[in-house]
Amino acid sequence: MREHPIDVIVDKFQEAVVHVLEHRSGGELILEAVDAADALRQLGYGQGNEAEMVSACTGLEGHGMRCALTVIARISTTKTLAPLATNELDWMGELANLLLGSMKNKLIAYGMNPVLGLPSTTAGLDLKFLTDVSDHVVVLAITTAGPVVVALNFELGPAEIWEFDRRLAPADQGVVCYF
Amino acid sequence: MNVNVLVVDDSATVRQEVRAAIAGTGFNVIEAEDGEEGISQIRSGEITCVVCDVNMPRKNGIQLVQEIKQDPEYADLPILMLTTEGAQELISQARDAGAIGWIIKPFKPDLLAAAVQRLAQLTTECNVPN
Repeated sequence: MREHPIDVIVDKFQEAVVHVLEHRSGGELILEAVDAADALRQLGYGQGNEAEMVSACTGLEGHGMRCALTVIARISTTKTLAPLATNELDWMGELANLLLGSMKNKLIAYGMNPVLGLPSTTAGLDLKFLTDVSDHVVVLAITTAGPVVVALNFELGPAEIWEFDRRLAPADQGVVCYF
Repeated sequence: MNVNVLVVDDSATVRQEVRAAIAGTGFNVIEAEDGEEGISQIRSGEITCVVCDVNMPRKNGIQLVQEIKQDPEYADLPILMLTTEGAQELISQARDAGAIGWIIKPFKPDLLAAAVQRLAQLTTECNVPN
């Protein structure tokens, strides 16, 4: 199957957000494509309640592509999504890693194998995006634990189509593959 | 025989979640936050089996497997990789280096517990006197 790279990236990004956050929240979620300002409003930004938030960023690079993913949530949401976490910054970094790692694994079947970076994190009151995200794909995931905002920026090489090859796809997540 | 499971991951949350997943097995859990510390733990303690991340600062999980498996004293130590990575190239590197298996995160706690029990059993069988 031959597909346009931008369609593939956006599709796999959204699939990764749904898969990872449903797994974490233990229930179905609602995913909405929104602009950055709407997304932050949903988190409570700028509404005078000084919501304590945590954010993580990580990246993918190689094979003619570059992606940067940012995830933001209220700390109260992260405490529900990861009850065992003693450090919300650490958990948010792991969440960013899971989200972009999951997307990366979905791209392997298209012959893409970029390198996944290590995450960086920040926390604070009324946190917002630290960079201009006007050209990002932004999704709002309404989980059972609360809203989570995920933004993806990407640059792609000149290829006009990507071809899906099922034989390249990795094993399902969570399955133990013994050698 | 005490079973000591070494969990190597740079995320404290993941280490905690692995600890919780295998709590029902009664095994002891020892933690390391990167490959360098993991190798030190293996060489200084009586580790039965290892659950190891791949992408970590200082020394990654593939390097840990390569270094440990080259040491005859620890060549039989079962090491299971637990990572977000699903790239065949990395999986092949781990397999060639001597890892016993690979799980792509996010993991299912019951499957991980069963896998760790299988690893521990391998070591126990290796250590049964003739």
